[in-house]
Amino acid sequence: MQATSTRAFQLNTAFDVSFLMEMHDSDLSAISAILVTSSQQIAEELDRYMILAQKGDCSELKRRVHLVKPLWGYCGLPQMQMKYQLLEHFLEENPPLEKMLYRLQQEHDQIQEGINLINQEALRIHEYLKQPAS
Amino acid sequence: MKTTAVIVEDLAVAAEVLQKYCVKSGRVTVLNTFSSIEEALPFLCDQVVNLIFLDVEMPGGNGFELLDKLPYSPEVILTTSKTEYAYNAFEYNVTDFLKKPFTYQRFLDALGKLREVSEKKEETEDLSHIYIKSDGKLIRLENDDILYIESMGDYVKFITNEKKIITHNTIKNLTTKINPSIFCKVHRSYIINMNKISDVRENMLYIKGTMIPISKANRTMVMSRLKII
Repeated sequence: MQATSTRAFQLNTAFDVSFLMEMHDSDLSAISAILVTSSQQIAEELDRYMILAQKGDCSELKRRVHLVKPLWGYCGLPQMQMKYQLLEHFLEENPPLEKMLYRLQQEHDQIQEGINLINQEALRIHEYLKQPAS
Repeated sequence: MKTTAVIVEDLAVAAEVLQKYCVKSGRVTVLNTFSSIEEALPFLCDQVVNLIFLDVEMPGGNGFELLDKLPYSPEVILTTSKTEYAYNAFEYNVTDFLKKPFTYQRFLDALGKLREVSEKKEETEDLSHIYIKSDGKLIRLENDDILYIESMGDYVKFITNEKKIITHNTIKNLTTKINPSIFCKVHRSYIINMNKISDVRENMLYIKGTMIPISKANRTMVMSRLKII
């Protein structure tokens, strides 16, 4: 894992480190908090997607994809936000049920990987902040 | 003077970050945060704010519908993750368009644009009249027609040459809104049109036969504005 130096802690460079540090004034606990909140919400929504797709509720599915889309950006993962943007565009075309389910199955693992990445980083920050100051 | 604002945003994380930016800037006071236009509308109809940070796609209606329903036109900074709304933003003459997520520097740039717009407006604003909300409509009152404004608790009464209009407002709030070169707060319950005074006797002044008290705290200021020769 490549890492970049920010104070004594090195954030994973898979994240847009400069954006995260600027947004939170280099406050690691604030970054950790936003990562935890966002990953929880993204994961909850991901669970809903398949249910909505199976019901054929494309409109609600699109709305929910749109809602959490920026959370990826707030976590410093703009490429995942772009992935959601493309998914939203796809849903705007009201695709048939099978196409919708197929697309979601295709995306599911990558989204889950993104959520795991966020959780791991939040955990690393949490562990770092638990250490007594030297 | 700080800009008063509300945030209308259904994504809690986005609202929190924006609130944080506002506090950090020291230039914006966030009066409230709402997650839908249904929640925001009653508040915004009741209280005039300078600025709305407005998301577009929200449950129960989009941000532009909120703007359509408002009885006044505050400055608007759109906060959305979809650039497709740029055309609507142009149509609604919004001050700026922030694509989520945005940096603090980009937020400051938006505040800079807001300041420019406000300054231009002040330069061109017509200070000869005001609009007041009454009976579900906005009524135009020429400053020259207003004799005085009297407090009635949470309401105020505008007394003009021809009529009396009651509206939900306070003397305190009006003090910051009216043209200060014409109007003057003479008592906690009264704002008067300085051009309408017929005579002044000790701690009282008269406008068209109505006696209006001058408070001790305001007397010096009132007297200094009279052309005593």
